[in-house]
Amino acid sequence: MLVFLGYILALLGVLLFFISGIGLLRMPDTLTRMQAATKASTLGSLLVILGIACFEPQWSFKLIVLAVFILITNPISSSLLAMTTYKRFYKHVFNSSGVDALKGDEK
Amino acid sequence: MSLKKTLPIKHIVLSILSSALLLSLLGLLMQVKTDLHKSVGDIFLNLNMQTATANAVTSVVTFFRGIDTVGEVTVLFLATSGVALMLSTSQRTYAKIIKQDSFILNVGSRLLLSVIILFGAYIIIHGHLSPGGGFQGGVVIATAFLLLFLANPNMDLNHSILTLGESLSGSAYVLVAIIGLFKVNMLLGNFLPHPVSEIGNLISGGIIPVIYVIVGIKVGSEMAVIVEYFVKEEHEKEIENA
Amino acid sequence: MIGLLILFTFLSIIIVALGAILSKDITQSVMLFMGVGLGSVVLFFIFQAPDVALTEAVIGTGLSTAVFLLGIRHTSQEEVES
Repeated sequence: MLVFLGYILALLGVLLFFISGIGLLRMPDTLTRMQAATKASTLGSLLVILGIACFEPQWSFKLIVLAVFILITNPISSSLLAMTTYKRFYKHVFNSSGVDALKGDEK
Repeated sequence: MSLKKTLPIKHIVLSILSSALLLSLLGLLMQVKTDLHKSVGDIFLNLNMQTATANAVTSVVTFFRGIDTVGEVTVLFLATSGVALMLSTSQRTYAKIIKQDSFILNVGSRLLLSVIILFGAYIIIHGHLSPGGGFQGGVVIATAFLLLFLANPNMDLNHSILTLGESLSGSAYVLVAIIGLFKVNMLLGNFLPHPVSEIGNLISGGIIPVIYVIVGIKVGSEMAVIVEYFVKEEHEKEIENA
Repeated sequence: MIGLLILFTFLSIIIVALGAILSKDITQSVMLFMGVGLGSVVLFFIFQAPDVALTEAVIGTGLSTAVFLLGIRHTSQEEVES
């Protein structure tokens, strides 16, 4: 039963990786492409890790450390990439909302 | 005129030399008879039961070829000294950089530091059970310091602790080797008890995990110093240009 | 099946190395060189040398890329923004 659940979770994760790959190829510009590359692959790798934890319950501590690593690194790197992209290419694009949260950070 | 006289001679000499080198290499290769039943790997695998480590590569690196490992550590120490000599010629104090990097990066790197150091310590301690060991784990720990330096440019490394750890681990390595010489009549001999029945446990293999922990501390501190010199030198350059 | 994987890894390593040689941008070339390291990690692991694979993953992919990038930023003057 647990093994069956693990298969389903791992399959869902691999499917998310596949979707993220398609998005990486099909999306038009940097910010949308980055969304596909980071959000989907974070959830996908977490689901794969959960599936492996269902296969082999004695590995769970190492898998928790791995999940913490992925949960910290992936959002930080994606936010830094987005900030750099905004500062380099999107500074002068017309912003309809009138709010620029990164204005104070520029040097 | 001169082209016709000089260039072909160089080319001819070079081609003759390279073909002679190639022929001698081929001759050497033809002479080698590979006996598959008596390769070096099989001999070491048979000898591996003496040291009672689950990872056969570790027993080769630290026991059968222990003197080579001492040489590797010495080479690494010399490389660190060279980098320090080259990059730390200017003794002035580094001015503090006013530019503060983003808050997310600052907090995230501090969170990640513990996870990466935990992983490096795991690789070092389990060197005799699973792939990895002192060198790999030490470099992993140095990578954690690299992340810290890239995220917080104002970070200062405590050099006295690093120097203390590096020199103490170096002396401990030599001390372990000499104790082995006195107790088992062999340099780097395995003088701690290492029963074969304990194979696969965390405490097994005699002095092999001890040596790997020593090598891990040494490599980690040396690599951290190298990384710090590289990053700090660049910041000094940025200050000069600004 | 495993032979096909080895062949595919060899081919991708060769393609990535050619890209690293032929690339005009030096940062891009360093990134492609990191790809060569990643491919060789997979190869070492397939050929049952996990120790060497771990060393290559840590040094060839992590530390040497960082040192190369730091060196590029250290030597090139035109990238410094005022």
